[in-house]
Amino acid sequence: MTGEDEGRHMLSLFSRPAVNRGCFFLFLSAVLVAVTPSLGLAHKISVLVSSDFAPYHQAIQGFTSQLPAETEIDTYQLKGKILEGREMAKRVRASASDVVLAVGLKAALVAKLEIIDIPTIFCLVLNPEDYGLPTPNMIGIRLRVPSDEQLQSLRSIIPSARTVGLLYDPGKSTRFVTQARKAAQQLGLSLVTREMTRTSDLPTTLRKLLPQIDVLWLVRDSTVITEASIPFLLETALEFRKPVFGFSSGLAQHGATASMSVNYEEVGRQAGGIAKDTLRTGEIALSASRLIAPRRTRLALNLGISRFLGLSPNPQVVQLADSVFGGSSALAQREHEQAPSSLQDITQETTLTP
Amino acid sequence: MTYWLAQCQLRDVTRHLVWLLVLLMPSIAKAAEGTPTPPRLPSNISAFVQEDVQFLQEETVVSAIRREQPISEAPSNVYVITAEDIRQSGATDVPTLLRRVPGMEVMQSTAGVYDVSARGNNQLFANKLLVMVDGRSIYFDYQGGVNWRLLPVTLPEIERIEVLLGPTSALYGFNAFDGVVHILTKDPAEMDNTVLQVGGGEFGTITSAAVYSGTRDQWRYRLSTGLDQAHEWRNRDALAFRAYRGNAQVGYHFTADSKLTLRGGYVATDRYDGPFLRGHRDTSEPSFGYAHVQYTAPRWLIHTWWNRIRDDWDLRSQPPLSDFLSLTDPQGVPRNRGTSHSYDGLAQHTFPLFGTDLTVGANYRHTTVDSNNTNGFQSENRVGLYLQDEWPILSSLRLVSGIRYDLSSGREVTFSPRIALLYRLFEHHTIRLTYSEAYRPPTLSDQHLNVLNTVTIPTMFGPVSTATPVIGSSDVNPEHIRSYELGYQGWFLAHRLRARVNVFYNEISDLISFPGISNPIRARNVGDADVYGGEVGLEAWVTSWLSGFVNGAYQDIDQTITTPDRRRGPEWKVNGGIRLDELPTILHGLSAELAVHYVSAFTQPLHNLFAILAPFGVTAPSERSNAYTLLNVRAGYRFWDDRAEVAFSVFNALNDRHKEHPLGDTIGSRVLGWLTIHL
Repeated sequence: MTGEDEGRHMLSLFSRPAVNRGCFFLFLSAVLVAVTPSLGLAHKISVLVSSDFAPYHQAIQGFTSQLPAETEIDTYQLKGKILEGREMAKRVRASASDVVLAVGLKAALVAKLEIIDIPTIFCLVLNPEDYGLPTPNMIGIRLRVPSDEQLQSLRSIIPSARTVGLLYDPGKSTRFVTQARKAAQQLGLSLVTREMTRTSDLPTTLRKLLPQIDVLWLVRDSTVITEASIPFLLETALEFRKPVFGFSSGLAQHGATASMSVNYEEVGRQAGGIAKDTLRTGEIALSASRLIAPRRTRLALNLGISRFLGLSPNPQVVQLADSVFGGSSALAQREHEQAPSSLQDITQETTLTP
Repeated sequence: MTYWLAQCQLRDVTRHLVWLLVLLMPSIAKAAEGTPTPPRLPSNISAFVQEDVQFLQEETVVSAIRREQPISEAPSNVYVITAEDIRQSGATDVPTLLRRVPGMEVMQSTAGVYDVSARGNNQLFANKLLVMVDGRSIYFDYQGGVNWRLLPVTLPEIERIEVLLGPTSALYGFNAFDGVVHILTKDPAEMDNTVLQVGGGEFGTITSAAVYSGTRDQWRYRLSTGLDQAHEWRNRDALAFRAYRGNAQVGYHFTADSKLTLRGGYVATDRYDGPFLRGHRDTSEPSFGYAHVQYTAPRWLIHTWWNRIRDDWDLRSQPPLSDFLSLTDPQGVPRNRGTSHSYDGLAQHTFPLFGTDLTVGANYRHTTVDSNNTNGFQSENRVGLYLQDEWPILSSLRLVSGIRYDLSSGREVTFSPRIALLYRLFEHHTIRLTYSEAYRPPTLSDQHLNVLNTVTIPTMFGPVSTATPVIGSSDVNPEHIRSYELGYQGWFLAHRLRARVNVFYNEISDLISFPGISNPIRARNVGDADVYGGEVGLEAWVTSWLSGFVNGAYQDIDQTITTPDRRRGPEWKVNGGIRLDELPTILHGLSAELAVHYVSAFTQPLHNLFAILAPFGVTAPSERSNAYTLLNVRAGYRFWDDRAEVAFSVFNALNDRHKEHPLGDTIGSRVLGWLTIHL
């Protein structure tokens, strides 16, 4: 057989219908195996994470702790990049995932844009409504502790405070402030708000606000809260001898009188519970709203700051706090394992020393 | 930069001192009063509160996609080429990427020259497609067209390329005649600090880029530079083009949604084997510089930009005609040296109106050219005013409307409307009916060109030369397109499969050209063409690691044009691709893409001189270009925590040697190796 003949023979072999059919079915089988969900075996969950950030990891830890051990979990790390995140979300869309967990704003946004049909839970997103979240296939757990709950705590810790000051950017936090106004009214508090559209306005706005209020309430607003502004806010409030009610235990540890925040791992556990129910029923079990409040909150007190300000927190409140710091340095005296039940009933008055 | 950093550090130190003073002042006072000492805050408090701040920082870098719609609601007529598509394609240039969009016409004449248009309206020196980078036109206003080798952007910087087919002047302004290619670059916050990419291989091909970007407080910045080159397809030792690029961008974010961005850059060439026209095949060394200031806010867009194009053409006739035809300026100089400047200003505001958002805008452009081929210095002014709105008529029916009023120097007013009706058949299935018009007024070159075509014919009495002036004219109507389009988009299989179908009918009138059938040869309107056809496409995401696409386009042309300006193009084009990425288990890191482009045979009219000079021994090439199939392959492997990738790509892996224009080079295959590093 000449080389030419051999070539022709090879070609004819390759073009045999049986071989072609075989190749076709082989390819088809491979694709079908790839696209078929793992028939009734373990459930598959995809987790999209915005960035490498400790609270996100804590939430994922809480989430996975609620799932059956055999659950297959694929984690996609966006590393802060939305573009790459969209590509990851496309892959999640084409995967056989039963549920998606999106942790952080960027993860939730790429899930919103690319994942339409898979039940998706998001958490640790600051202002979800401002970003069109949640979409119909989503349910979200809020990062902010509801305003009424925060104000109730504030009133319990500093009962003599009647006028609460709040700085915010109307482009970012109007929705929250509107709810806060209603809550303050119901609790008999006077909410004094000041709008800021530029961080550079902070010194002037803050100095004008502090003499008019009993307590400064800090909320997560990226115009007001920056890495540079936090020390300034805390120090200036101390200068004016005004207590600060913050949004994270870090703030209470470093200069705020008290703070109320979410426990990230607990939020993850809450999401895990929703995922478990979704896997069981095949669809997201809806409560009244697709945006739900965090199940448990975390109260932190700084007794050193309280002492300096002449506040004597009610021992019951101290007992209910998750974290109690003795001074402004990192002196955590105690960390409760269990979250507090309720502060509503604690009415014994502490006093504000002039 | 060092000075700036030093300033920042100085500011930080000062700031901390001030805080310390603020802190200490009450302490001193209270101590004097015998009251308790205020607690000291830790000096490194910033480090402790970073966690609190990071939630907020997430918000500051998502403004770009804040208003983006989920894929199920995305417009059906916009084709998007993503950064991932670019990476996986192994393409060294944007036109190669555009081949995968159904309805796009891409014609490569030489290693350096691409002509790109849409829906059967392609030509040499194509001038009917608007190309933009970050909202700034890079269309050469003074002579029309785009030089694809002078794109002021490197490939790793590109976030996505949006392609919109059909006349879109009402949305995008001047020159959006056949469609728009909009190149959007990445936000510096989305990029790794440093990206280095180099690709090189056969035919002297080098493509390289170095991009440095970052953020600091409210500032974002990016610097990029690159070198690209390739050798001739017809002579692998001869340089076809070499381009050097440098771009800088700095942006200041006032808020999460409003920012001011400054951009500037320069592209220089020391060789470019074009422009490529019917009669001549020049070589040149063009350069392109720009500056762009852009302010964006939720309801505002204000920008101003400047483009400078410098041309230096060595005018040469097409090789079969070189013994007979010479091209010169009126003084007999066989060069075209000129500089053109375009200055553009645009202000746009969006008002709420009866529950809708009405967008109103004004645009002014001033273009100048100073060339030995255009009677010296020439200039023109253009003013455009536009309105756009979207009306929800029913829950399932929306009307998207826009109209643009244009006034160009010495011309009659033109109105370019665009109306689209979008009807949701049922969830995730939409039909779109669009009517749109656009105009392309004669360019400064169309109006003021002044060159000499000298034809020399050998006779028994010696050579006889006839010089024919080629002269621009202001007495021509703007080119006009009226388009009717019906489109469908549907999503199937849990959004794993997207189907798109479009049919269109375009009435094109008053095409401008310089038909060589008179003396002098003057710019004039040469006739009308009706183009009709359609596109159909499927995109599939089969598994998390396997995706693909297939699409096809058909078009036919009826026309009254009898000169060589006749519209001609392939009737059929079929594209398909398959991609493997993020493979499971041990194959993680491997990726591969295979893309195939089939283009049916077509004819391209040649210069009249080929027929006229046939008795003198000029052999006219066939007007027919055979059908061809391009198979482009790329495979890559990512390692070092996905921060580095090595890859190889093969352009035209089947080595289907073909011509995309009868006078063009025979295009072969080319193998390249790539290395990309993210630091």
